[in-house]
Amino acid sequence: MSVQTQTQHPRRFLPKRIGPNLLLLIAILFMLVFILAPIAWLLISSVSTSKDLLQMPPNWLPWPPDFSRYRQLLFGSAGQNTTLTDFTLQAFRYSLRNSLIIAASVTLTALVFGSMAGYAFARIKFPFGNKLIYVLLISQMIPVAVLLIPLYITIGNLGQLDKLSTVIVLLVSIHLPFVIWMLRGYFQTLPAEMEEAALVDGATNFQVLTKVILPVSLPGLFSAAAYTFMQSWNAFMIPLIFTSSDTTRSVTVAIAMFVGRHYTDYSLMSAAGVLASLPPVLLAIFFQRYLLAGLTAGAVKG
Amino acid sequence: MKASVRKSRFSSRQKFGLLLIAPSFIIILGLMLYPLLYSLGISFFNLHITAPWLGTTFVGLKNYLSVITDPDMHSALEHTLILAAVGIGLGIPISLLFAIILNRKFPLRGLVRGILIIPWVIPGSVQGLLWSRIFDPHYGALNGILIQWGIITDPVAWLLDPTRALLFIAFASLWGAVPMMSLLYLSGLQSIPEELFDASRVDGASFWGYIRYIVIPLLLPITLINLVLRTIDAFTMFDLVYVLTGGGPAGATQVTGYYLYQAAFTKLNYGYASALAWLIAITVTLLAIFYSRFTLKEETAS
Amino acid sequence: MYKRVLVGLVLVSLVLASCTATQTPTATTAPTDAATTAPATTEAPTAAAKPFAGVTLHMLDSAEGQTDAMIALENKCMDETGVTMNVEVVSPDDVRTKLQTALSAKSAAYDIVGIDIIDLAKYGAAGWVEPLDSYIDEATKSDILPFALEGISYNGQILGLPWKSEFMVFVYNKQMLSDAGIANPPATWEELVADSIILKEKGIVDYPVAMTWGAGYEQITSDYTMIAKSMGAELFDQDGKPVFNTGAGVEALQLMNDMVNKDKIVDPAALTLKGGGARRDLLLGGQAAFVFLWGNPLVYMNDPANSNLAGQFALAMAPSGGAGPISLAGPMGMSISAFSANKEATWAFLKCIAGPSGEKELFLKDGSPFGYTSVLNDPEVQAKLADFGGDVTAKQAENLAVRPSLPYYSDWSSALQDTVQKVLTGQAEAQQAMDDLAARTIQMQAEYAQ
Repeated sequence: MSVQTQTQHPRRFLPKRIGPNLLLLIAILFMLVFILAPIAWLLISSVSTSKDLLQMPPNWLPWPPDFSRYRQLLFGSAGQNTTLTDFTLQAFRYSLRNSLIIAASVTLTALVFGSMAGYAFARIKFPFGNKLIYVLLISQMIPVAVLLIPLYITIGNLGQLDKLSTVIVLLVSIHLPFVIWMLRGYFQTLPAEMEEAALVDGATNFQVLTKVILPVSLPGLFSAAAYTFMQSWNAFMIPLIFTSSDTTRSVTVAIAMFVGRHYTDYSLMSAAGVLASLPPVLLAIFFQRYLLAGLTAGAVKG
Repeated sequence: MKASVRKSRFSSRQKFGLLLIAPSFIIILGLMLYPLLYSLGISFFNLHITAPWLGTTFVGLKNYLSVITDPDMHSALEHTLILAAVGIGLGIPISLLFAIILNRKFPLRGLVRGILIIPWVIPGSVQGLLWSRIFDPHYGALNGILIQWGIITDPVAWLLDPTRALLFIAFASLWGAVPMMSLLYLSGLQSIPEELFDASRVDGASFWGYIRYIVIPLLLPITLINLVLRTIDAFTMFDLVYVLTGGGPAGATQVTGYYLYQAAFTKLNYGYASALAWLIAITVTLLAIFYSRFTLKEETAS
Repeated sequence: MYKRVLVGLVLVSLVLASCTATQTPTATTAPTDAATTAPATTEAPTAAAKPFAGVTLHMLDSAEGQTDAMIALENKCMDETGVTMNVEVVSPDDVRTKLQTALSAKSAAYDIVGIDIIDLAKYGAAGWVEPLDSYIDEATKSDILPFALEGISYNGQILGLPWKSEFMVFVYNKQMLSDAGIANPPATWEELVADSIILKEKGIVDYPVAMTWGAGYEQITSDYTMIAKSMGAELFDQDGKPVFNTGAGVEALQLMNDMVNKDKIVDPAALTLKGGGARRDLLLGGQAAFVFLWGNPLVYMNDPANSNLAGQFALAMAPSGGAGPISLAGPMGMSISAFSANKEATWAFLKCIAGPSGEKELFLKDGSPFGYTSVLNDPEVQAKLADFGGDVTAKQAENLAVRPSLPYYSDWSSALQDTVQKVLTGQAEAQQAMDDLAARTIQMQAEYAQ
């Protein structure tokens, strides 16, 4: 909405400050409703009693809110007559930390290797041309479901089952091709004159990459990092098959454990979902500053 | 001058390039080459996992032919393409709008950016449960709110109608994907120096130029990434279909990803599943090349 | 040039080091996992009674199975046999994915595997589980309840010990029935339909029978099998040929169709629903009067914390279709992996955990269903069974059918689910659809007959 208005009448919103601000406000509200409406239902479910969830129309504001699920997930133990066990609770508590380690390590590693290879594919002409990157890409397009058995055989033979490092390395190798491709696209948008000038000035190849290219690529690196972090945080199949214990199990696998064979406690699943999304959301609020850093760096160089 | 710089550095620069891509190739191919070749290999065999007395038989292209000629597969492909089209058609404008909003300055922007990523980090199993609780025909939030507002009088079984079921799955999947797409666009917008935008605001003509020569070329590569991501998502979608409709009613929401999962894990037909996986990979790669031809052409045209 | 490479390598190794560094806390802060590392093995040093001391075994189970009672039993069995048992848990749905990946890779990762009846034939045909005929003695074998025995037998071999041999019970809302002037719960399918129509006409509920027949959901096969068997149908004849497309096999499907489309006593929304919770909640919220549920659902349903209608729910025998009040069992088996390196030790542990005494203990503490006659006849067990719903549960345990054991079961069941969905959405006629299914079944069989 606001896009069209801006592009068609770019002048109109300049003198009058109210108009664009109102449009912006409407757009922000639309966005918040789009994102938050389902989450609101998740939050409501997480503080509802099982009786509240059986009402139609629903009890939108269960009062007083029932925080027993949160207490149970964080500090409590499993009660009687439920499909929940202490085993699951403990797995959940450890899994948040495991997932943070996995996602952060995968992101860092993929970013280092990905920016190196992405730069090479963007800026250096090889005799074999750019076809190599498509070889890498197609390897990522293969659904992981059919790779599990050979991977399991390989990892099992190497004696590396049930290790965080195994999950990290596997996720890096699965997501790296796309990171390379993304970063290559980003590096290609940078003007070639920059590095040529630096090379003439006597900078080494490595210096060109670390001192000239990477500093102006922060937005690109940030989006690649966000992509990798999200993919590894949400990864399910690889952690499911390659982790078995509390010290390795990812949050996705742990939360699936709340689904019972016949019966599932929706409120508990909702509370677990809320808790599981807190750490990455806090990280995002913190790290979004780096987007601004990217802007400043870009502005200085530009 | 430039040419001579390039020429004199040609071989050492290529060596440098090879060193840059070497780690990525080692980690990707070292781990993935065997599984990839294995899955390619068994796609020409029938392993007879549940009938070992029949041995492993070479069947040539039979698995590929049965995928291609299977009418169930044709309707699954059709549904997948609809999912991809809805994901792209709705997802790109919505995420672009969100990115433009988040690129403007307003109070609590950091918090709103944090909120935007929430759908991303809610584990797939919780998302599936959440949507099934929203669309539930008896106790669902969607029916609840529509009844509360007097739009409908009786609850509706949303997922009973084939077309509607597919659209609802597409929407649920879009909700989880919009954060990634928006952040990608946002990082693109962030790399545009602010002075250019300020300057463009002064007069309409240069604002158009700003959109035409700066924003569009810059966002095209990102649009390409978003197109590819949405296509991969549509072709490998599994959780939401599994939780929400199970491919029903009567196969009306069967998609390639769920079909593949059933072939591999329910029917243990690894040869068939691998053939399907390779066909999916080839289709998605071809689509990616098609998209990139399209976007690159636009880019050079501008 | 090489200096730069060196710098690069140092950077890379720093990154890798930081990865491993972040992992080190796992070693120090490793949780002392109640089930795996804290067995009471050191408490009673009766070495002679521990024939397998020093052997470490691995077991894959669903998370909800690892209750306090189960962990106590595991510890007791570890103590008795001397083995160290590592229990690995994932969600019930994921057990299959994880198990099949390990077994397809011929991995010895798991010694004990829990298998649902619907997978047993598949695993048996694939040679993934050890036949137990040479291990199990006659007394134990004849102690196993008939339906539970079916759940662990394939091709004339016993592939496991009975484990949580659950079955469905028929739950109804007695308040609604008395409001409608109905004295007794329906004893036959005709009565169920007739009572439902009364409940509908009196405006008590719109769709009295709660079903969950969502696509790709095993409950369709379970309910179809239950109805067909209660009408006296055989799904396959003595030679294994499909006969479900004749007589009661077709009538059962027709009844399902009529309940949705003719008598309208099952909500068409059932075709989009999955999970026992979804149909149980229809009764808890007062939207239905009859439901079939697994396990011992009354404990939860009659708890005032969970429903305003708590106290109104009661058990009845499953409706009969002429062949008796037959419900469906979903027995499971605890089996030994064919790739286990310690089969003797695994058997010793298995006997302890899934034998009559183990199953009795789990039933008394958790209400977990069991598969032995001696447990059923045990006075303590009988007393507790009465708590769960009088003698109905005990009587229902003697009137159970199971789904067929077929190596191509998954294929067959998903084809059946698809058939039922097609008929119930009006895309096919019951007889024609069943004939098509029979033809497809013969094709599936042909692949095994080569």
